Amino acid sequence: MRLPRASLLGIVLFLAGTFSVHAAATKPALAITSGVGESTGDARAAVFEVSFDFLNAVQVAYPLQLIVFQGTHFVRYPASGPAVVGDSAELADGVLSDAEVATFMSEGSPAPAGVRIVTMAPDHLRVALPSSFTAGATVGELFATLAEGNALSNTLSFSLP
Amino acid sequence: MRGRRIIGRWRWTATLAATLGGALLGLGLAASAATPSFPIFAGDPIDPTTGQPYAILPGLPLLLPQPDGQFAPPIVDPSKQGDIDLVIRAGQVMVGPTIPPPIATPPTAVAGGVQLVAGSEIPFTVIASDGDPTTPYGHPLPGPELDGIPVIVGAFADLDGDGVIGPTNTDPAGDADNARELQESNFLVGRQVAIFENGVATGTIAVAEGAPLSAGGLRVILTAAAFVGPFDPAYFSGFVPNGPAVTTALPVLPGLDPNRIIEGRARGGTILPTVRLGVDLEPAFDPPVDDPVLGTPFALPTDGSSPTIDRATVYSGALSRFRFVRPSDAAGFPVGAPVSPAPLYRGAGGVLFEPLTTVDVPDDGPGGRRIVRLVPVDLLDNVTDPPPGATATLVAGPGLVIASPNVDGDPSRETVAITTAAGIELALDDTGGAGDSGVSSTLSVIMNQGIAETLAVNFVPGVSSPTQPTVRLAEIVGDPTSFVLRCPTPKKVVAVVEEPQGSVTRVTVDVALDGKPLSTVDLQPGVAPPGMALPPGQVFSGVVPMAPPAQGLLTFSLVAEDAAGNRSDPVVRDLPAVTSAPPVVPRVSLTPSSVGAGAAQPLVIAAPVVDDCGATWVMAELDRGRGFRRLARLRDDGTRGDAVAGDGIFTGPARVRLRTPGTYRVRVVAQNAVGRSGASDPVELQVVAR
Repeated sequence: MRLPRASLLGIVLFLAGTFSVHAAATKPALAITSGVGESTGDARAAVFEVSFDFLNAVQVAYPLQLIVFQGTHFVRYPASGPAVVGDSAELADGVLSDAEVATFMSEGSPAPAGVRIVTMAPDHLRVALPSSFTAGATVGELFATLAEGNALSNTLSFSLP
Repeated sequence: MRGRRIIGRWRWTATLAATLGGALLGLGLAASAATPSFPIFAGDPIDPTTGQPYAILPGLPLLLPQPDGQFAPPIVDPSKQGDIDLVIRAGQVMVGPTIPPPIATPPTAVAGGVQLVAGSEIPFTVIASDGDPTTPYGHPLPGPELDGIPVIVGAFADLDGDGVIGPTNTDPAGDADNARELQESNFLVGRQVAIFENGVATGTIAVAEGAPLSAGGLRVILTAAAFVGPFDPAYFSGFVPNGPAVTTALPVLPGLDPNRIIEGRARGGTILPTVRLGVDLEPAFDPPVDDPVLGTPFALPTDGSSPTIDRATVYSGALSRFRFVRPSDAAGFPVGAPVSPAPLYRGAGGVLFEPLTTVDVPDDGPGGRRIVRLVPVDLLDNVTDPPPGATATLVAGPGLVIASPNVDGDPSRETVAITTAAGIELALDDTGGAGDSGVSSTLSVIMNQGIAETLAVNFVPGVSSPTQPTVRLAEIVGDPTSFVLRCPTPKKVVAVVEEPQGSVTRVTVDVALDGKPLSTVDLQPGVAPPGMALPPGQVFSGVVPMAPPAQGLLTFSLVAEDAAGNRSDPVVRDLPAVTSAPPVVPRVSLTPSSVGAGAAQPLVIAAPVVDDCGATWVMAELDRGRGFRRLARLRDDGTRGDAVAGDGIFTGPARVRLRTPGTYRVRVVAQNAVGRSGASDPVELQVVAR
């Protein structure tokens, strides 16, 4: 079988130790530019203006995640797959950092059915929040676990009504 | 290959999530490169400054930048014309000695692909061509020269459904919507990578945008581009072929500098269809329209007539939520303004919508309503067809009422069924009197106990009259169930428009087939057709001639306009266009509906028959317990009990003698001029003891 030249070169560079495949890969630039909370009765939702790799999320299995948290209580929304809700000490300082991602990913349990990403558009995400979220300070953050490392956005604080 | 080559700086970079790999388009690469080893470049004009073939789009002249690097305007060299290097076909195509034409029936897919939603992808085949001008598409180049070279496939959407990607003056809107049409040419709706092997690269591409199945879906075109050259470790880490780009036809001329488009200078790994790909489409300049020199070279038809590209139809995905929209206004896209992506949603009947996030409601007491439209959308915000039973609960915030619909008497909360992609119109009003509703409020949409949408409402001082007319009723007279191509029959459309001043001056009907415009007709002020019960308002009607060329979904989009130029939201009605159809008998009336048992009793049967080809034989049948048997022939000639000749109501007298009391079934069967027949649902005749 003939190897594609690019593949072959990647292998050669990897073995030579001068370059590892994916090692220098660029990470997606994740950002949250605004967050708005909504409430009606017991229902709550949040809408984030975001910048992420939208077309890649549509085309390939791009492990984008949005987390929304109040203190240590969080809900995590994978771009594809069910949401997870729980509590995590990693969030106590108000931010999920690179070193905390692995532990954080093991925490929580499946969220109720209605807790989901409602809209995924190139520039915004709308999510339905669990009923355990209450009015008050809330934080949103995007991250992706990639072969070349974690990519994390800024955190964005907003008030959930 | 003949002289041609591609483009400028479209860069399709590969940023892999894994990294960048190689494929891109680019152009203008200053490289050395061994073009002779790539037959795809044979005969192409060579740039003397680089020693490489020029990048020229197929069928176009060479376009070069000014000395400052900007294409303002491009320098046109008509002595050098682009030939065909790449051809893309929808579907997995077996490539033999010839390149097949664009597919006869475009494949369909569901928006969103398979990673985020339960959608689907569009299969494609990219074929390297020798550009032989004696053939429509050139001959395939099955050699190994391109093996391992990535090719990027890009999808562009015909958002306005005019059959062309990008700005054009040939559509019904002329030049009025050219700036908006830059949304089609300047932004991808999907892209994917495939790897050449023996001159062919295959794969599947996910497309993010779609339109309702009921509206015919969203037509997209598939294009392709690749850098062709050797992999040089000193050039972009060896992951981008060191050579000029080749492409299919494209709706825009890409930019030129690969250094600006390839993330991280391509220090990634191998580019593969399964890894993240960075794509940066930077148009060198907006596609010209009716340019004195170039004409309209980038507008690409979606009908399969463009030789190097192909197309597919994308339907929206499953309902995710409901959202508010407003009709897109081409005037909102000013000519010459910077082009940034703007959300446009193709909805029922091909109507183009934009998001509606805020609305002004006059704080003037009763009256002065504001009409908003709520439509079903999928996860990616494409307007979609809702499943049966879809409902939304609307909750008005303080100071706001849902004036219509309001079936439960509580204007603060309303649960509505949304049965079509057209969604529903809501009338919003302020509570109390003038100036007492506060500054703002919200209208929330609840779905499955979650908030699906929130519309911000600003209360504004205002006159107590609507600022726009509202089409309260729109009907195709006669309740036709289809338009029969074998028997084309103009349809009469009736509209009732609400506007307190009664100053509606115009109601237009835009007719489209599968979203492609067919005709536009102005309705005339009039009165209600006989037998039609209409709501209060100004009545407009007119006959809409049309000649759909093929089967599909006909849509009639009605918009009213008042003397001040205020336009209503469109109201859409649809009608399938079919080759032939059986007669439709929507109802049957019996007079009387109850007769005595024993003796012969007179009975009059009447039924409307809907049939474009003309009903030639209509018969009432009675089931006495052993199946339907003929009872009486019905006529529409004004005789033998028929009141009005030619009104579509077939009537006939009968005498029935039924010995046993009970319930008997009666139906009406009709046959038309082309031999198709249809029957009504049975109705019940009560026979009582005397």
